[in-house]
Amino acid sequence: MQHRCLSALALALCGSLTSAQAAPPAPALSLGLDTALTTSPQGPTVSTLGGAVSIAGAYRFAGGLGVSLVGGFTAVSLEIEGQSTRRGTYPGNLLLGASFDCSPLELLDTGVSFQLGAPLALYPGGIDDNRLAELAYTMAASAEGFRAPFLWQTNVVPFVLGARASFRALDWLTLTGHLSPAYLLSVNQRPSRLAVASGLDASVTLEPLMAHAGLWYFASTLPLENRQLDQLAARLGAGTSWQGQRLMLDLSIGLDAPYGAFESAPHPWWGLGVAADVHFGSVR
Amino acid sequence: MCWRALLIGAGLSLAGCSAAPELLDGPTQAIVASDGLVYVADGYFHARVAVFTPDGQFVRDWGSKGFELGQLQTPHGLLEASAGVLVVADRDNARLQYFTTGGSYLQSVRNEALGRPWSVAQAADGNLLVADGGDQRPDAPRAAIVELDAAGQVVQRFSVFGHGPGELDEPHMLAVSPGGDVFVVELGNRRLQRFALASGCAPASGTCSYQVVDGWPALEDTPGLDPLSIAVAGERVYVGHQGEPPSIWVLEQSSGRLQAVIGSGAFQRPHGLFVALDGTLWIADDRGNRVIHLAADGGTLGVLGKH
Repeated sequence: MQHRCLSALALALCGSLTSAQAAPPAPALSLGLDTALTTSPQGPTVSTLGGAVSIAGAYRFAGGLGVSLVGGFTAVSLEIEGQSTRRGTYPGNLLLGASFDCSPLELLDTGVSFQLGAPLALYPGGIDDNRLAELAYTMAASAEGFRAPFLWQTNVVPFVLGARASFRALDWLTLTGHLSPAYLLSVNQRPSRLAVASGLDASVTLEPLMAHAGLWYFASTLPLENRQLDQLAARLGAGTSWQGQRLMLDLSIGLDAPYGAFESAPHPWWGLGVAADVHFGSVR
Repeated sequence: MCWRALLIGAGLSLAGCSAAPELLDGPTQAIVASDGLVYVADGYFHARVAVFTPDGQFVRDWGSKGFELGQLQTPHGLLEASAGVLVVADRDNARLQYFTTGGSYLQSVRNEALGRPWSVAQAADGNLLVADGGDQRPDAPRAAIVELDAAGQVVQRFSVFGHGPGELDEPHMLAVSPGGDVFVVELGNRRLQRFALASGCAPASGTCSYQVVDGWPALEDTPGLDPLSIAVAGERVYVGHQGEPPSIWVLEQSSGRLQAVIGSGAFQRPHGLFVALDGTLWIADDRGNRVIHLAADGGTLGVLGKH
């Protein structure tokens, strides 16, 4: 119901402004690849290496309606002094989405979306395997700077609303805001919960060069006093952009208390990754 | 860090901010230590020990989630081995960890002979009895009771995985009687077993072998018993029953006969059970996220960790 209201609001806004101010979005196919690598957390007797890969495909029909599919996987290696190395690879949730994009003003692009996730990020069963998977999913969400946290939320069916607005303040400067409240329907004995991911990002484009900096925030309502499940992250990146095609090197850093399995880690977590976006068709 | 709510202007983030420290999340075991305070292994979803006064005032907590020495992953059992020294069954890290009651890390015991400690109890001679509940891997089941000396050295393992008398499947909690008998609750076999010291054995004389006691408990008295936790005090064996209604079944130690059912409706799931010196019961209710303090007759005396 909330999604329908948002869509209706966006349609009304776009409908009243688009015809006079800007052309509606044209059909386009886009593919995205996002990777992240991290060695957080490290400690006196613990050494980790983790990575995450997410792949997104989206198609926007004429008029702004679109569909998307996002999936990924994470891998981790955990070394504890005196124990054999443990390794595992785990799938992320598969997010199927519908979206509506419009440009109510010449300098403003907006979009609303709804994603439903297939719960593939599940604990595998054995105690050691569960703890390793928990670490892997935590590393994946944080190493990516919480840009796509719902891929990595475990043992839930995510229902994710999304709203995005990009404002071209200058020819070379774009400010973008994201807000994604979600309901995470539990598929195990844990309670279902609410969560929110949000971000503010500023990007500078002087083709073919591009750089950006942003803050990302994630929180969930699990009443876990002793585990920090809300996080503020910074993400910085630089790379190349040409006609909407992008190749970026991104650095994500945790700005506050260690997250989840990283409790008492002596240093903030970090992640380094490569992100690529390719568009076929019209680009705005 | 609740100021971050301003960033998005939504109440959602307020809920994500840290909650009150007295709130528990899946507590597994609560004990009263020699200092008179209640120590709660908290538990399945926190990774800490929370300390309360008996009347429910939060005092302090310590411990964090992780793999490092001194960190915890599912503190599943708790014991005061000597005055001021707590032993935590750090289940998911497959080790026992020793702390002062103030939370200072002392030592860790982890080895193949110990296995994965789910529960820890202490015999009259000071040795520890540990339930190795296995790894929850169907392809590699394992179960045993492990005896350690006061220095943490494994003295012996007895019993094996299985479903016959004297065998174990997911030994969840255990208790030791003053006479040295070991009482074990099994999740996999949904039953209760008693292992007695071999005749003629005095624990102080060295290693003693254990033998299962056939016919204990009295099955005709305990139909439908779905045991989860256990404690022994004097001639009484208290068993936490997770079936409907969740309750404490009181058995006579010598005969295994049912004497009483108490505490019905006072908790959701009696994961951990402890009998204090004054005869009152402390029940770690992992589903209700509380610790319930019961009188010997089952009347509720107080609640820790209530919202």
